[in-house]
This record gives sequence, structure tokens and C-alpha cells, in this order.
Amino acid sequence: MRRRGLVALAVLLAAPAQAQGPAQGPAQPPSARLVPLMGKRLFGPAGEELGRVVDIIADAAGQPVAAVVDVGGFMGIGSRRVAMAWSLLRWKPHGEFVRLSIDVAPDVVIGAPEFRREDPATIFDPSRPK
Amino acid sequence: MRWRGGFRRLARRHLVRQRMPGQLGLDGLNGFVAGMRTAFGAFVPAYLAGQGWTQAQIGLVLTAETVTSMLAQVPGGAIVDVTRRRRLLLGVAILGAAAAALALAAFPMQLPVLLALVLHALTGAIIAPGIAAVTVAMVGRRDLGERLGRNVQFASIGSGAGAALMGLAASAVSERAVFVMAALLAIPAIISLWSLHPRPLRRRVSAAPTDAVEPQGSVRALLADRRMQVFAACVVLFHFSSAALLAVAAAEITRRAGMKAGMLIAAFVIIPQVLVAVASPWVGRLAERIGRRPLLVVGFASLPLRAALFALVDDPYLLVPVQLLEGVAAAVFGVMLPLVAADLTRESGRFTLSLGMLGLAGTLGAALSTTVAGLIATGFGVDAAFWTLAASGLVAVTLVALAMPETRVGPARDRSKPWWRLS
Repeated sequence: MRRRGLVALAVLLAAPAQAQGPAQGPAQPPSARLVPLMGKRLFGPAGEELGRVVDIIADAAGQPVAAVVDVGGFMGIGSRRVAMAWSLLRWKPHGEFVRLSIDVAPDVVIGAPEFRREDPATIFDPSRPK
Repeated sequence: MRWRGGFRRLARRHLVRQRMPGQLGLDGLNGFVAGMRTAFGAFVPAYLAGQGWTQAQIGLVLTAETVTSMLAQVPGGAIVDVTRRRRLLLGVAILGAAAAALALAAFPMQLPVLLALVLHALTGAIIAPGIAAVTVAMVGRRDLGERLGRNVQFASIGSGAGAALMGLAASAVSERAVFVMAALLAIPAIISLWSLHPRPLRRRVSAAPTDAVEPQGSVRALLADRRMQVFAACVVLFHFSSAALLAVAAAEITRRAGMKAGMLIAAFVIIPQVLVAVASPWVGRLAERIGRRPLLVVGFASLPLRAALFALVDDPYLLVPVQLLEGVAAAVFGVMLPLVAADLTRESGRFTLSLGMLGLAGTLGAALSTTVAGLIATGFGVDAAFWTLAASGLVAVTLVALAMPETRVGPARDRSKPWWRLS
């Protein structure tokens, strides 16, 4: 009984803190702040579409490491799988949605090594020391 | 004056050709059906990825479709052979494909999509031999080469125009709109089909002198026919050496050319399509004039040449004209496959069963090609994959040149004109 009371208290205390976040920005429906990633489009620095997210890679601790994106090609012919390091991804509000983009030149992204799950070095990350 | 004469000649040439019955209907049937099929070929993976499907899920349903298509080829051809209600059967199959497209648009969930793609594979195994059977029934054996050429021409136009319009719809409206468009294309396809005169459609298509109900030749005799065995082997090798080439090359071009690769690959796809649309009727007429064998040798010879050029030439822009060779191969193969099958089954009447067997051979070759070339490309590099495909193309053209006999029956037609003026 006592533990349940503590949990209730914690919820009561936490609730106002949470409510402050959205109150400062423009009013957004709560669902717009959850971003489904499978199939989400990834854009380049000039707003050009690079491809769609097809997989999320996590490390053994469950932390996201990279998003695998199907880039390039024409109507599904010639596309390649490139794993974008999680730190490269930029999350920008775009209307009521969140837009996923990356600040790397598209040709560099598309020409990056193809992702192979057995080789962590195939994760595309220009900031990583060689 | 010269212009008027030219105009008259042009008009006569086309009006004379219009005497062949059901031209417009067959043109429309081939074009609209090809447009429908384009939606399933190119847009399904992108649509499902956009719906949040994982790659494993997409791979599973596409594999189910491919396997169904393989298993259905021979039964599909056999069913078309034994019925004389060809128009009804073909109409039902087209409606089935439309239903599959609507189901894809309405229910992008695992089970409905799986069922829709399986249904599409089943209808495809009826539609391809069904159109071929309707064509033979409408025009008979005499004008078959020319008419099959025109079938391939309109199929190429239909799939090209379909891909362009559906691509526009996908970017302007949604990928879902593509499948609604595909379903709507069933309406003009069925109108075209029903515009064909029903009586010739029920004719026997075998040339055997008896009035027995076809098909009369045994399946075993068909399988034992040496010409059939050789041609089936040629079909496997054709697809084995050509199916994976573009995919392997396109991945390499994307890696090197980045964003520009999209335009290059588009040119790679469109150039052969245009050549097929322009040259196929001429290929069909030429086949009646000089026979099947020379055309088959030329078409198959383009395979190793193209694969070798892909291995040797590094600049992707220089490879764009090389894609004309794919157009040559596709035009020749598209016309010759049904034409040779019709030649080989003149007596037995097992025309569409033989088409089903050759269709199975083709899908097997194509599946092997992508698997083997993909493995070689990742293991030993893309050039090794190109050389492997070139070597199998060389085997294919050698087999055609040494073992494939001429299958045309009867005298050469259209001797009045030199062969290059057959258009």
C-alpha cells in the first residue's frame, strides 16, 4: 500500500514537469512527437530525398547505433543499403511531423560502403577516426 | 507530288495491314495488360517499405509470388490449351489481376498482400499464354510473326507509358494510387478483349488435318521433341546470362555516380524499351522472311557482347548506347519465344502448354541468374560477375548456332521487298 502511494505521488510530481515541454512550443498533437522510423524518408542537406529507412541497428545494450537506409537507384533498380551512424541523423520539425535528414553530401552518402551486419566498420560515420 | 505519293503509300501500307482481323483489339489488350503488370513489378517493394514493412517481410511475400509464378506456368499453359472459351478465361484472369491490385491498395497487411501477390502470379500464368492463344486464333499461323511482333511492340509501349504515369502518380498522389490505376486499366483491357470477334477465338489452333478436339499430341511427345529441349535450354541460358546484368551494373553505377546514377539507370531501362517498341514488328516480319534461326543467333550473340562490354568499359555514360544491345536481345527474344513455340506445336496443338514450359524455364534461369551473379559480385567483384554472365551468354549463342534448327514451316513470305524495307 505504501509503495503504491509513493508511485502515485511520483506521478503527480512528474506530471506538471512533463506538461511544461509542449506548452512552450506551438501546440502539437501528442502523436506527432512519436516518430515511426520504418519506411521513413531520409533527406539530404539541400532537401533532396536520399531514400527510406529499412532497418534500425542497436548495440547489445539496446542503444540505437545506426539507421539502414536504401539509397539511390531508379525505381528500385541499383539501390544500395547504407547504415547511417545514429549521431549523423538530424531530427527537424516539419509541419506537424518530424523530418529526418543528414548533413552529408548525397554523393558521399550514396557512395558509402554497403552495410553488412557482420562488419561494424561498414556503418557510415565520417566523424569516426580511421 | 512526291509527298502525296509518299502519303498514299503510307496509308496503303497501314490500311492493308489493318485487314488482319482484330488488330486494334489485340494492340489494346497487349498495351493495357502490360501497363497493369508494371504496377506489380516495380512499385510493390517501394509501397510496402513506405508502409513500414521490414525487408524480411517484403522479401517473404515477393518470394511467395515468384515461387507461385514458377509453379503456375505449366498448369496455366495447360488450362489455356484445353479450353476454347479463351476470351472468358482471359477476361477472368484480367479481373483477378485487377482484384489483386485493389487488395494491395486497400489492405497493406501481411496476409492480404501475400494473397494478392499469389493471385497476381496465378493470373499472370494464364494471361501470358492466353494472349498468345488469342493471337494465334485471331490471325492464324500465316501472319503470326508480324502480329507477335506487334504484340511485343504494344506491350513495350504499355509498360513504358504505364511506368511513367504510375511513377508520376506515386510522387504526386501516393504509392497506393499506383495500384488503383492498375485496377482501372483492367477496364480498357477487357473492352479491347471483348472487341475481338468471338468466332475465330474458338477455333482450333493446331494445324493438324483432323477435326479432333485439341490438343491431340501427347505431352510426352512434346517433352521428347529434341527441338523443344534445345530451345528450352536456350531460354534458360538466355535469362541466366541477361536477368542479373542490369541489377549488378546499376548497383555499381550508383556507388560511383551517386545522385546522377538515377538518371543513368533510367536511361539504361528506357533505351531498350524504346528499341523494342520500334523494332519488334520488323523483327516479326523478318522472321517470316529469312527464318527464325538467323534472328535467334543475332539476338543471342548480343548477350555475351553486352556483358563483356559492361566488364570492359568503366565510364557509365559510354555504357548507355551499349544498352541498345539489350533492346536487340529483348525484341528478338520477345517475338521468337512465342513464334518458335507455335512452330514446334503446329501439329500437336499444345501451343500454350509449351509456352508454359518455356515460361518455367525462363523464370528458373532468371532466378538462378540473380542469385549466382549476386554471390559472385559480392565475393569476387562486379567484373567477375559480368564475365560469368558473358560466358553463359557465349554458351547460349553457341547452343543456338550449333543445335537449334530452323523451325519455320512453308516458304519465305514477302519476297518482293529487300529485307531492310520490311517495315
